[in-house]
Amino acid sequence: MKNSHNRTKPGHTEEQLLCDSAQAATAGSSTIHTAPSVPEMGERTGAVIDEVLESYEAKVFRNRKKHLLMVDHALEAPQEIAANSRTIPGILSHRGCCYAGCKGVVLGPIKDALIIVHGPIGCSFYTWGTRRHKASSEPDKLNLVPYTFSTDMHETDIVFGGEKKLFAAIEEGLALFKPEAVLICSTCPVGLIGDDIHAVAARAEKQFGVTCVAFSCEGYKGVSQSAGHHIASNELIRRIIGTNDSPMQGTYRVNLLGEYNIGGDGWETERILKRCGITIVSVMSGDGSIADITRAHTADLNLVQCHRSINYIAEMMQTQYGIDWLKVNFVGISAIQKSLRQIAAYFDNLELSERIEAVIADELAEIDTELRSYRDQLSGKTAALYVGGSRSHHYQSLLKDLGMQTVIAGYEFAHRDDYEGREVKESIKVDADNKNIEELSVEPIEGKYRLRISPEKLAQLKASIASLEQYEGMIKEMDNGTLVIDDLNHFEAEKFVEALKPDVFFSGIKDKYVLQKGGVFSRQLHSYDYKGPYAGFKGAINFAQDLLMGLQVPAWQFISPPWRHEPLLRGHVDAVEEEASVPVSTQTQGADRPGGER
Amino acid sequence: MYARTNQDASRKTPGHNAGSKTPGHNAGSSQVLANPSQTPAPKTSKVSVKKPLKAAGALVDLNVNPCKMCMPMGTCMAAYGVRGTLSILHGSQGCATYIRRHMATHFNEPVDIASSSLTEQGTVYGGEENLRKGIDNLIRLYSPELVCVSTTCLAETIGEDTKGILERWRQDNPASEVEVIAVSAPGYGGSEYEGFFRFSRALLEQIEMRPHNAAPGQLNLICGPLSPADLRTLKQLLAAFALDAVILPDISDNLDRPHLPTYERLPQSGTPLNRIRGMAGSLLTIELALNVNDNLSPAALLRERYGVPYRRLAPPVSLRDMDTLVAILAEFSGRRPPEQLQQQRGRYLDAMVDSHKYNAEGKAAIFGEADFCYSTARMCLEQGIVPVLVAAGSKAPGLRAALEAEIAELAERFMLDSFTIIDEADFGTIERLCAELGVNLLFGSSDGRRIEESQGIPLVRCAFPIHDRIGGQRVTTIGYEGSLNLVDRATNALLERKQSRFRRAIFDEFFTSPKRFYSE
Repeated sequence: MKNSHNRTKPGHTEEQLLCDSAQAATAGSSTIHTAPSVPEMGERTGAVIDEVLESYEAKVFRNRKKHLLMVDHALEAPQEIAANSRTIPGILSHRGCCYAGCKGVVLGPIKDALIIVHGPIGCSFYTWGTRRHKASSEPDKLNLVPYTFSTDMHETDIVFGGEKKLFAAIEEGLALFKPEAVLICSTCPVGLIGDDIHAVAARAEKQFGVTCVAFSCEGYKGVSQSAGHHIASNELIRRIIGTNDSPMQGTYRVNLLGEYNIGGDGWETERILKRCGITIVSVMSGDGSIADITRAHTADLNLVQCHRSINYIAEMMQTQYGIDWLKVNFVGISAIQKSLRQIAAYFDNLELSERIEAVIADELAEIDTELRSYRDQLSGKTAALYVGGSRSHHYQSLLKDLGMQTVIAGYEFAHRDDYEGREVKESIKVDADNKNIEELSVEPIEGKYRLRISPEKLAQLKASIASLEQYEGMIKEMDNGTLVIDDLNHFEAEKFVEALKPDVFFSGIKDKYVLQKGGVFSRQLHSYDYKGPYAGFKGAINFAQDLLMGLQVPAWQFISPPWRHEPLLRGHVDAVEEEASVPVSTQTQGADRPGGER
Repeated sequence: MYARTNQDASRKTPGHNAGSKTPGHNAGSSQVLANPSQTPAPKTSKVSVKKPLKAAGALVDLNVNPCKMCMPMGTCMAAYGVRGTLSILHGSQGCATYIRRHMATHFNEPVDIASSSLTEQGTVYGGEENLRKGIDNLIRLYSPELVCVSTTCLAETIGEDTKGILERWRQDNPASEVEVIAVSAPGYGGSEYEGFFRFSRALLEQIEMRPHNAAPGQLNLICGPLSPADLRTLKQLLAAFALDAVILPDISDNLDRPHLPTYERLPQSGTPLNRIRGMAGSLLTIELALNVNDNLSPAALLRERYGVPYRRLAPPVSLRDMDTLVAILAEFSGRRPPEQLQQQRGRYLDAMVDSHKYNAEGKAAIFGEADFCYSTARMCLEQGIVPVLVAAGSKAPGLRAALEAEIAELAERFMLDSFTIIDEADFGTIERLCAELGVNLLFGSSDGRRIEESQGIPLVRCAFPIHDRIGGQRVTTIGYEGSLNLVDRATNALLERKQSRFRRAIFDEFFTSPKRFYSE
């Protein structure tokens, strides 16, 4: 490493910020909780849960109660939360549909595939450029990310069927764009009228000689986007991965799974990995391509960023091709270091280890001054997180790095294992909604199955690398007395914010404006408010900067949340009526704004 | 000059697709050629607007980058114009999520749309239980005055009897004061534009109307998808004539809410239901929409059932269409247009003269829903900006006939030999035609940004949805002042384009080819 001498810079080795020792990172990640079992904040949290739930009708009360918990590590049995179950109708859940998970999340970022949405126009329109999965355009290479395609079904197509139209659309799309593959996603009415999109895909593939894969991801399947992730993963395993055996040249070859390159996160992650001498075979699926994914099975290790959406592929690739997987997190300065060191530990190579340490030291040195300054200003602030199926966990690490505390965290569409850890996977009951999502049973593929390391070595590594084929879940890393909420809705968000008063609420566009109208600073963690990247070392600084800017915005001086508005005492002074009518809050506004002193 | 440039552009057509990844996709398009040598008699086009045959080289089954949305988008948006109303979409929860996401980015406002969250089971056995639970929960948590149940592709395809479900709900909740209506809005049955009017019409059909509620001399004003700022402009206009008007729907405040000390979960503005009941007793309805037929028109319903006469007018985005509206309001109110309005008109005229020298270079493409296309084209035409491409994203059978003669006339004056009016266009088609027709100015939603980037044509963002700029809710295009605001933006876009390029252009022309300069 050219810059490795940076490690010896004075004043930076001793109190290197957030630089865990290599051993601490690999020795197991269970956090030691020294806080009292139910601190003062916990008491408040418990009371708030009861108060919010009281608004519900008895049945809804019972249902929602299971989706909420206050973290208490002192309890003997691990805490259990209900997740991935039916959304209660009418309470303004933020969840999306199966189609959104399949087309929008997993397939959408693949840039050299023609993704045809078979259905009426809306579904295709709404996934057009609305998720910020960035894709680079290279000369002579196809980038279809700026496009969306639809068969635009009309009433007659619903009545008489849309198979012919779909076939013709494939033909037209192939002629226009010459894609690597055609991926067909179905919408609600398609499944209901019985269009056989798989047969159409097979016929088109035979006739045109281009891979055509159909995804039956009708919106009503499952209970959220999550079903769509599974369906997309199944077909990628069945039809795309493993179809090109020419290996990529390079050392320490990995696939990056569950990285969707929102705001360029994937690019920052790749930059760091490449600096360490790690070769990326394919990314699923941010800035990814079919061309790369077809040879994903030639890699040496799978790195899983978003556990929820893509753990299926990691698991199945291990069975089929013998590739082990490692749960990583490239969001948060200490988390990146831990992940990089675990990669080094897996490959068990001194040169790689040294190189990774050098890169870490160099990257940290580069951001050190800025990080200190942001940490000074952000330290002590509190945050609420409500994002998809992994980020609510990932960003807690980054917030901790900045000295901030998470008081509420929840997932939109996660399963119990994302909350409680993979060890509960076996005990999750399969219900009516989930049993219809195909659970692919795979076997080792002859000629392609190759163990990367011996079973003995793997067992040994598993003992020392906590995230090797394991995911600990979110709850274990949260503090006592904090609140975990599954499938949060508008109503609850408002109530909990009012009670727990986080300085910032990280969420999506659907609740952003509700929070802001209430005077609460909010940032979108789905789309990053058109900024980013937030992953990696440099991303952490971007994140801190955006956060601080948001908190320091002068507008907050003029706005204060309603609960801070109300005077503690109400009185009336007859003699000086005019003065008494001045709102009490004007005197305290400066101190009450989110960025001010608390 | 212009004519030549344009011819050159159209001659390039055959090579356009060769080797490029640009979609050369032709939906229901047919080009109208205006020959400058002929008299510009009103052209009644004999070219069918039907999709050309595939044999002719057109691609008809793949929509590349849609220029339209689905019906429930329209019903949800319109429902925001009635006080205390919440929408629940009967179908998969994705519909509600997607629509909320799009409305929130455009309006920068909280958008609450509930869903009956149908799963596979509900799809098979019917969604009655889910829908009824959804309505009950919504009422419990938000206490709305009106719940609008909009169907989706899913509910319509499984043949859900939504009205029947609501009747049974009512039987079980006889004491509830909440009005609940059903709007049929299958995504495959039309675009957001139709959805918008379906809400207004269903409301008038399903709530109890009380003609006696009407104030004396009351006027009805039916609006299409205008911006909240546009609605505020209309309200000022009505106030200027001291008219007591009921606006349906009135999204002026609910989708552009001020920041107040207390945030109300339920939208508190919009037209109250008791006033809407009284619409049956108004003296006249003015409907600011052209692309609605009698089966869709709320005004037609009010005439049919309650004998309220109506006038159907274009959204007043031009001197002429605003004049028409003003004249009708003056006649109806028996008042002269106030001085202030006459001054606004004068300023618009003044600007028209001031900017003519820049605008005459404008060759615009206008895309989006049909009324927007029509009214923006009318504004362009009187400003001397030739709308060489008018492209409606969904079906708009009357659009061609309504604009053809006028565009042909202006095109001839400016010696342009071709322009195109199409409906059911996608952005694949629009992008191709922009290049072919030498377009230098775009009007529409932010979905035109890819053309803006790839062809370097400035885009005046003035239609829903605007995702990549701020202030979608405050875009004003109607009235004399709104038209002036719009035309100023257009003129400045042309100027900016020119000024950012002319030095380079002059340099290239006169200084980088010395051969030409000296050897002649």
